[in-house]
Amino acid sequence: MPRGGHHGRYLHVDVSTGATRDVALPDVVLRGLVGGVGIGAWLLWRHAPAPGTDALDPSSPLVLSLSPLVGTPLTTSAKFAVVAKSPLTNRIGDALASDRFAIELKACGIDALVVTGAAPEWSLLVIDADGARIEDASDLRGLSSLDAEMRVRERLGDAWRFFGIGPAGEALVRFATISGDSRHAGRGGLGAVLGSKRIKGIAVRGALPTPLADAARTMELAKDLSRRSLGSGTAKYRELGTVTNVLVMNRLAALPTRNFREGTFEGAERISGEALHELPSVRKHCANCTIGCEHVFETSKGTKVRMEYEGLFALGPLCGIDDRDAVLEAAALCDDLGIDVISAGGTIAFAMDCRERGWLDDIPELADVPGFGDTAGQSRLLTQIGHRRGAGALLAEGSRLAAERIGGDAPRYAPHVKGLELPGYEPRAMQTMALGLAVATRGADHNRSGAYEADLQPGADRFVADPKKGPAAAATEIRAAVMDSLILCKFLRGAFDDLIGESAEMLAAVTGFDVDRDELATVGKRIVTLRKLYNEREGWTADEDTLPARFFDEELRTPSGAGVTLSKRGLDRMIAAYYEAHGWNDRGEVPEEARRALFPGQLFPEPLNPQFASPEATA
Amino acid sequence: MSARLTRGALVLCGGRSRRMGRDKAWLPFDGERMLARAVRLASAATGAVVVIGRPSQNLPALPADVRIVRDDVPDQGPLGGLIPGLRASSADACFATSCDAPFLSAAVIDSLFDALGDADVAVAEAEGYVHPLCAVYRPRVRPVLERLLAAGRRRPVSLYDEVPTVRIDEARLRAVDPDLACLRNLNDEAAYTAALADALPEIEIELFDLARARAGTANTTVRAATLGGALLALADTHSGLVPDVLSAEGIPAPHWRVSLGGERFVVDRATPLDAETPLLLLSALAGG
Repeated sequence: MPRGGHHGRYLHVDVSTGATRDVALPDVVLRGLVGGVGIGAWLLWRHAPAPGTDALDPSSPLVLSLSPLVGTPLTTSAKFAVVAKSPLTNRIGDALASDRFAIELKACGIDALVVTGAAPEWSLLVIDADGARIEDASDLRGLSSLDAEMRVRERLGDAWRFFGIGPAGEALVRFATISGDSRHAGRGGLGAVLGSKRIKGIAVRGALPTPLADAARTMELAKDLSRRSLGSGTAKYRELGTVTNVLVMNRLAALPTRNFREGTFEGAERISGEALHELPSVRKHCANCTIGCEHVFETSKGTKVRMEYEGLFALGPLCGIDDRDAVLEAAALCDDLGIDVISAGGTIAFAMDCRERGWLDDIPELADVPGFGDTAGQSRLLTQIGHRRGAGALLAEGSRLAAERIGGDAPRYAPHVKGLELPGYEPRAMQTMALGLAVATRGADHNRSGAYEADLQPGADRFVADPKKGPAAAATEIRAAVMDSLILCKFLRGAFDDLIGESAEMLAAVTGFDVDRDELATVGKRIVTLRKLYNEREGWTADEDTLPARFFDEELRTPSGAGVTLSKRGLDRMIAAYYEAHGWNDRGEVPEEARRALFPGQLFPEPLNPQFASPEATA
Repeated sequence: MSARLTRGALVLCGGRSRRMGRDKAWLPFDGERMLARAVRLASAATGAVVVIGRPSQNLPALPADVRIVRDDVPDQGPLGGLIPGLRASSADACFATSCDAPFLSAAVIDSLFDALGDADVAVAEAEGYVHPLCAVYRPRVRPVLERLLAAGRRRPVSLYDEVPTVRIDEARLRAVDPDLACLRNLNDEAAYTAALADALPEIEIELFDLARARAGTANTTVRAATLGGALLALADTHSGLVPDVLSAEGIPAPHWRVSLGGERFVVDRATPLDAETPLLLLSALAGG
């Protein structure tokens, strides 16, 4: 069968000089890591400077990794992964984004883009099928990503697509996003990495179709997947979106409120998804998507805002705010500035908490921080963060570094794991999810671990840290890695009977590799392991796999009114079971034999810089 | 003699349910459709069951060993339903009931069989009425029934005037069924609602996300003693939930969960419910 899906090459651009290189990607890598976060992590490692190098150092690479399914008719496949060392966590950072940018970049004839260096002046990286060039972007400085996109398309033509940063990325805010067409690669501060290279954005236009190994079979599978994507497994996303989770989580006492002081919010109904749907709204689709999960709401001021549960919880209940217009306007401000709504909300909620505890009284730069529920204060802080002004200069560092500056007991209350702010899952009310949050390689994470699924199983006691859930949490990471390497939208997962098996069928039809379920499951495990190994390289220890200490000794009220904490011993036992399920040692490290088994032959990404090669490679 | 009788049961469901406004065979009652409930209760005190429906009437799922036959001529009243039932049954005598009797009691059925003796019919009589669908019939009355119907005589007493019949009076019935519950029929919504209220606790159900949107309400109540009963009743009263949230039989769609009071998720349809603990119906598809 002919090969398809991949172009078999990536583009490396050193924006310091504008030098570009076409580099072949061997089949062993394309088959062994597929694409997306898999190839992205491989290239991150391959181009990595010395361990411990600052994430914002020019030598630290930023990788945009496509997937073999981009450009095919398979629904929700117009996605790509952005992978870099996170300036927020100093560990691996990967985030997904979608839409036509992915299709155009793939049509440039590459499977990935690696950016290193730092441009002398603010620049635009322009890529088409003929190669890459650097253009001046001084006129784009200070613009939101969306405004910059419009300016770029006026300059280059409407067919061009753009992916870039807003003011926060320029200001190196540690949780800045990169976005295109209002869709963000949101978590981990990857916008600051692009900003550190003085690249305002990347403009792409391609001309090469994605080759298909078996076009007829691909089309057949695509039709079937599209049909299933319109079934009951996605109805919630199509009709209401994730914003409806607010009332569900609230009822389960799992809605983080006022910096995790409570799991229920008295104002939940007022800012619920149901309340948002009383506003004028429209539904939108990503490119090549049949689901159409995006719900864009219009505020009383006429601002149109795309809203998801995570932004709603973080800017609403987490900050004690129950004004739906204010929450929507805050989300729009985050979009304009280019900052991650979860980290922004988490960091501000933490600061508000510190204000109410009286811990900021002697810290002049945080004099502006208000208490919970102050909508104007929240808006002011968001702007300050986006431009690193006033209190924003410190809060732009994220809650972990802010807590270190505040000192005292503040680190107990900084809502992060490995520096990444917690998503909207109260760990004491979903204790398998607590495990997922604690161990995820990119920090507190709800997209690389689906451990919450175990908490929602009949018969499960979600208020107990049960070591038997360790393997389930590990398995969700593998499934997520498969989806994030293909890449398919996670909202599709309800449409599959056998996610990995059916994904293998699609991958085989597109690429011509005769992959089956077992092989693709191994790919998922390999990707999870590779990310872990990257973190080990950067100094990870098992001490990082934990949660803020307050969860271990401060009670949360359950729906029945009982008090519950997260047992530290219970969490540690779950973590041990999780390590064991992945085949790691009791310190959570990947044993050498396990690495060799997962990375046979030349599959392991030896760094290009021989100075940093592993002992085995230099022997 | 009656001790050696082989017992059968006839469950008639071919009525038009005019006063109810919907087919009574399909009414949910604590996790079962009424026809299935009547079959189960009758079967427990007898043996093989024959169901008699209208021609082409759609019937709820029934156990595989239940024989289903159709009225020879529809709309002939209870006597008309007995004819194909007695023809299909191989029992020495059959207890006859309708599908809308929710409180059939084995003790009453035993009393009727015990009273039959050498007679052809044993029928309950209470509150001034005979109850032809709380009675036991021998198959040999079938020719009489056919003759009566051919002559246009559809009143049950016509049969009892012609064949040896034992009437079980109210006192004997009350001795085993003090409230005469076995004689209650669900002729209209009021009777149905009252029967549910008498038998089952009221359960509050909280609906979330798509369930709320599809049902058009955030809260509702049903009468049920078990999880299965509550979900079947919910599917029946809120058809917008079918099929994306619940099947027509009240089975949650994949990724839908039911929680007792927000504390624990349950799936066993026999899970007992109480009026103090609400049920939550929510989607397990949390995020991306």
